[in-house]
Amino acid sequence: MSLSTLSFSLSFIGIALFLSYREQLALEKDMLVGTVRAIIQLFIIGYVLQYVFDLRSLPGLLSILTVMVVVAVQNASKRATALPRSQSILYIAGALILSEVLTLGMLLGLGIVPAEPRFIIPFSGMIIGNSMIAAGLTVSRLQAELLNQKPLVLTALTLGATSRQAAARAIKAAVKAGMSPTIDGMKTVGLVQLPGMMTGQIIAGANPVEAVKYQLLIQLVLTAATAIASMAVGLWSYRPFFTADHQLSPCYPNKT
Amino acid sequence: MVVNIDKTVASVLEWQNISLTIMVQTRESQVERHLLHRVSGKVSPGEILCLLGPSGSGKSTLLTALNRLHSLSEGEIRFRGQPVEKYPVTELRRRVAYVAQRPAFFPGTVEENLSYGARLWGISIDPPLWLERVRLDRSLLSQPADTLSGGQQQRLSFARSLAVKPDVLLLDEPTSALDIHGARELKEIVLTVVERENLAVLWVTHDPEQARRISHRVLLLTEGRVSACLPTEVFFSKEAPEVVRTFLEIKGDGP
Ligand SMILES: Nc1ncnc2c1ncn2[C@@H]1O[C@H](COP(=O)(O)OP(=O)(O)OP(=O)(O)O)[C@@H](O)[C@H]1O
Ligand SMILES: [Mg+2]
Repeated sequence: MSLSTLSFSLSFIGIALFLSYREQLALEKDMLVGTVRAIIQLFIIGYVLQYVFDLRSLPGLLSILTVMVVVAVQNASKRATALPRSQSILYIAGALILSEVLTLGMLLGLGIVPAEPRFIIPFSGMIIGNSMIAAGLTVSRLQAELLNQKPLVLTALTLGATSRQAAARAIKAAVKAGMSPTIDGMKTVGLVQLPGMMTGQIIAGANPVEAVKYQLLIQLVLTAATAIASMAVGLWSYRPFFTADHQLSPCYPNKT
Repeated sequence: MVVNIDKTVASVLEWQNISLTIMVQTRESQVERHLLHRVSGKVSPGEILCLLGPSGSGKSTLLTALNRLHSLSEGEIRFRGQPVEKYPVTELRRRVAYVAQRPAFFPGTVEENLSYGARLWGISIDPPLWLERVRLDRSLLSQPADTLSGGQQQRLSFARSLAVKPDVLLLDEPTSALDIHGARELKEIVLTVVERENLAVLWVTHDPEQARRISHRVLLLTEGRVSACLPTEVFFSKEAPEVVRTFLEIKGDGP
């Protein structure tokens, strides 16, 4: 696709801008900023990827993965409003790295994908991105559940439960919430929408069945990745809400 | 029906000079607030110690502190002569059971709620028997716990705490939400169990008349401090100190 053909696609944003203006939605500024950012970010990453692919350098690869994790942790830990910042960063970074290392490790170890940047980077992007969403959902749901279930948590503690036992219901609900987008997505994939990656492959000329095989692989990998991230976040991040003596700690979610 | 008590039996739970201070955020700064201030007392097996005091005086806070739900800023709690820190917290909570002012139930049936604590501790219980003990019909076992009436909930909550086999019961106004008949029935249930199991009881009530009927001793709490701790006969007699008589007069005039 030539740059001039691509530039015609800007007319699509023109339609949206026009509608927003006419209906006084006041979205024009956000749309323009979003468009410019999308253009710049995607081109930068495109050139960086090309550079790394050509270079085939390990430090280059690792620094891209690091940037991915850092941005994802930043994003997901924003949702941990009740946790001290350092703790939420620690647990979420741990969860994302664990999920990336385990799933990518299996992909490479079993020889499912070749150990080359052009495979590792897109897969990692999907793994880390989905784990980020799962981790953010898990931690925010955990806080909401702990707040909601406070009388039950206290009741369990009074009966001699450990904090882990007292928080078990909240953790379970949170992990479920973290995984549900992936699982829902898996149920409707292909029926409601064709995944972006599959669409891209088909357009780029791949045989649809070949594209489906990759998509299936990705879907399964992402299920594992979100399961790992959700569980790790669920099982780690309830801890700061309790003290070593199985009491509620000062940061236990409270109505404000 | 006051249970006779052998005064020679050593106390099972004893607390000395316990204070609980929290920091409260005001507009300008953080200030200290004493929820409990140098509170002392003790309770022996078979004994009922009633806790009286105005609303907000720290009665619930004292019970939850004895259940180790708070970290004390000062003082010591002893269970069977040992500082409570010597026991695992969870074990202490099992032995010194706290029955909350407003019972909360896990989603699930009466039976699941009844056996929650017992299951944690690997204690096998006979659910119908436990319902019988608190005068609930065994047909309720499979019913969702939150469909019970207020009085039934109080009794279920009491049974749930008893099922973990505690030595001390901390009862936070167990009859306050009940009508006269419900309150009397629950009181009889508790007194029967206490006598049979020889439990030590700390019973919060806002009703001095109830305290007079059931307790051996009364502890009066005012703004987080002990203003009196006396044998029940003395507490309700003319020899009672000024603070006690003032408190009882205000209570008498109240609604
Ligand atoms: N976590 C907390 N943070 C701030 N203040 C608290 C906290 N817990 C209790 N308090 C305050 O401590 C005081 C004592 O509360 P507590 O519930 O022990 O009173 P109470 O004697 O049981 O009252 P009532 O008879 O109404 O149940 C109250 O003024 C309450 O607002
Ligand atoms: Mg209270």
